[in-house]
Amino acid sequence: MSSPLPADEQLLIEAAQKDARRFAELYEAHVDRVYAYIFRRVRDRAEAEDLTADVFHQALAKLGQFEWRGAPFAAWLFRIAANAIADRWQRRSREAGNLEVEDSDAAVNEEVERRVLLFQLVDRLPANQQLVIYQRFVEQKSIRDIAQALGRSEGAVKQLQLRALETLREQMGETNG
Amino acid sequence: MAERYDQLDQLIDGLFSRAETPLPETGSEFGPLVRLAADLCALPDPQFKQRLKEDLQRRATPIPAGFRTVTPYLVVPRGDELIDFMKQALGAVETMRSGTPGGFHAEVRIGDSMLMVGSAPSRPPSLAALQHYVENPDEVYRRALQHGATSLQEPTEEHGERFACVRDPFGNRWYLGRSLGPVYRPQGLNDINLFLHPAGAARLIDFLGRAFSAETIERHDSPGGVVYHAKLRIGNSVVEMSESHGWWQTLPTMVFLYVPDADALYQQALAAGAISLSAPADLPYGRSAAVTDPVGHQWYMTTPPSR
Repeated sequence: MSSPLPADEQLLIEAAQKDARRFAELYEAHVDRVYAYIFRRVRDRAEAEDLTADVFHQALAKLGQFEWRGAPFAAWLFRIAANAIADRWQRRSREAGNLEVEDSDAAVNEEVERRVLLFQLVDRLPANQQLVIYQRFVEQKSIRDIAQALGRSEGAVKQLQLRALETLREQMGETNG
Repeated sequence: MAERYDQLDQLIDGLFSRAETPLPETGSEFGPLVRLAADLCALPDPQFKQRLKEDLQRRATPIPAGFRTVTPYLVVPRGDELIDFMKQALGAVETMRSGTPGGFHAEVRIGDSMLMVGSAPSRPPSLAALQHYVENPDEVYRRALQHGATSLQEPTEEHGERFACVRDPFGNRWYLGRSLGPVYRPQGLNDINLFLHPAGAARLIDFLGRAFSAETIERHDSPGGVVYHAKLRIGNSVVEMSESHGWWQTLPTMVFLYVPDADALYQQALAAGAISLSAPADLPYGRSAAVTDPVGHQWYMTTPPSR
């Protein structure tokens, strides 16, 4: 989901501050971004889901405190996410004893936006390629299991995977200029 | 070709088993694709995203614990007798009662659902048809008859459900169902679901969409456009509907809605053609307003005080 334009985003935030049900629209616009931000730090699906839920719960609860000063809403969400991750790591570092050093904001944003774009492009793949990508990378199923589930040969599934990746590479290249 | 996709898949398998392994050079044959595949390992699960969205929507609506958006409100002259019937026949639990001029307001829980009951000797009753999913409809049907209900339909099997229907001593209709699937109630429905039988269901569906942002999640029409059966989602509740016919006639139903912004919803309902019963006002239980829909059902919308 691409980030809304600043003026639209400001209206959306004001609408959600008046009627919390509108928060779902902010969620839709930013969930991939927050997830990508968190995943690049924690590199674990269950933990990324847990932290993403935590960030949006906090954002919903604190939305009334958000003041529009021109900075993107995503930056506010990233701050909540960074704190949530730090809290968790601090708790853990008492046991394990190390804290990772974070990259610069620009590098983080660039990587996050690249992944958000990639996630959007996956949803535009032909249905059979999309299915293979989700089963392979989200569910981390083996080619054999996917082939069985889809009633296709393993070769056909590998071919779909290759085609999907080639299409994504091409489209990422085009979009990035 | 076969070798290319095999080689690529081996590299992808490597990503899953050794997350910290250096990626192939971008200049190598598979470098760019494997880097893309590494990024795809961060692809969020669509089911997780949907679950979280639903969770946030629930949290965004200020509904008191145990309630959902829609609560049928039954008002009869002798509320205590209706509550006794619900306790004895349906296993209801009364959770609160407070006095009102000439009567009382009470809340009862049946299974996972709440109902409101008003006792008001001097005002016309508000009745409802309620789809009630239970483990054993035959047993509940039998108990209901023992406690004064009238049979409208003996237990039978139709449309994938064991189904019976009774009218309680005050005129509310209880559709006792059990899904013939592994779980006693169909997915997405609750133990009690409001069932409306308007004359002009299509028009009411259109109205509810505009007035309360109701989303039609299922609808089966006759070739002539008569609504046989529809399910509408209002907030986190489901309301069922079918065109009135036979003994499935319209009842004078009152519905209580917990909403995030009663003022806004009241205006939205008026814009959709609702008739005002009461403009938004601050009441002890929250900001509340009421309207009548084109069929005559009364909708009370309330925003509880902030938690």
